Amino acid sequence: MTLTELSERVGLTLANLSILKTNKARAVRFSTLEALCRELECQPGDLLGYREGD
Amino acid sequence: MAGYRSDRVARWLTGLTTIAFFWLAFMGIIVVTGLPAVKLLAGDDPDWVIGLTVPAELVDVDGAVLTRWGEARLEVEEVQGSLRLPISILPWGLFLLLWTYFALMGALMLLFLHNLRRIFQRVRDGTPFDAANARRLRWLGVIALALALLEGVIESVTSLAVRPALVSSTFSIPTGISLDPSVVFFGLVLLALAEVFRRGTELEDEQALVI
Repeated sequence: MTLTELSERVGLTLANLSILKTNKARAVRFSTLEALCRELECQPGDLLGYREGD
Repeated sequence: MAGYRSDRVARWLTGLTTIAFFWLAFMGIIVVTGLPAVKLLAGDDPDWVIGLTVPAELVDVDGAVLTRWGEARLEVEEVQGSLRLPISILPWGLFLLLWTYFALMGALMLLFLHNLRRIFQRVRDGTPFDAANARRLRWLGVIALALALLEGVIESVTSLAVRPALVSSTFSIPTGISLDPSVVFFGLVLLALAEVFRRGTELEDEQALVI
C-alpha cells in the first residue's frame, strides 16, 4: 500500500501522515490510531514505542 | 487556509484600515513638506497658523453657581486651549520642534495603522494566531505608549517655550509632563493582549501537530 492510499483510507492528509512518519507529531488522536491499526492490520504497540529522552 | 470563509467584519476592517493608512500617509506628506514651505514662503500672512494644544489654568473664574436647587460650586480643571500662532512669527527653534513632533507623530501613527492593517489581513485570511500577529500586537502597545509619552513631552516643552513669551493673557500655562492616562491604559491593554496572542500561537502550533 502506498502512503497516498493509506492517507485516503485513514482520512489524513499526506502532510499529516508524513508528520507521523517522521516522528514530528506532538500527539495522536485515538481515532487516528484506530484507523491506522485497522488499515495496517496491526496493534497500537506495533506503531508506538517509548524511548528515554524523547 | 483551504475552505475558510472570511468574516465580513474582518474584510470591512481590513478595508477601512487600508484606507485610513493611505489617507494618513497622504496627509502626512502634505503636512511635513508643506509646513517648511509655508514658513519660508508665506511671509507675514497671518492666516497660516499652527494650533498648539496647551494646558491652561483659567484665572479669576467665579466658583459659585446658583441653581434652582441651591448654590453649587464650579471647579474648572484640566482646561486645554488651542493657541493659534501665525507660522510667520514662530521662532525657528520652536517651529523645528513642532515640525519634528508632527513628523514623529505621523510616523508612529502610520506604523500603528500598518501593523493593525496586517493583523486584520491575517484575521481575514483565517490565520490570526501566528507569531507575526503576536509581534504586531506588541508593537501596537509599544507605539501607543510612545505616542502618549511623545505627546506629553512635547506638550510640556512647548508650554515651557510659550509660557515666557506670553505678554498678557487671561490664562496661564502650567508646566510639567502629563501623560494621557487613557492612551497609556490602551497601550498596556494591547501589550497584555499580545501575550495572550503569543500563547494562542503556541497552542495553535501544538494543535497543528496533533494528528
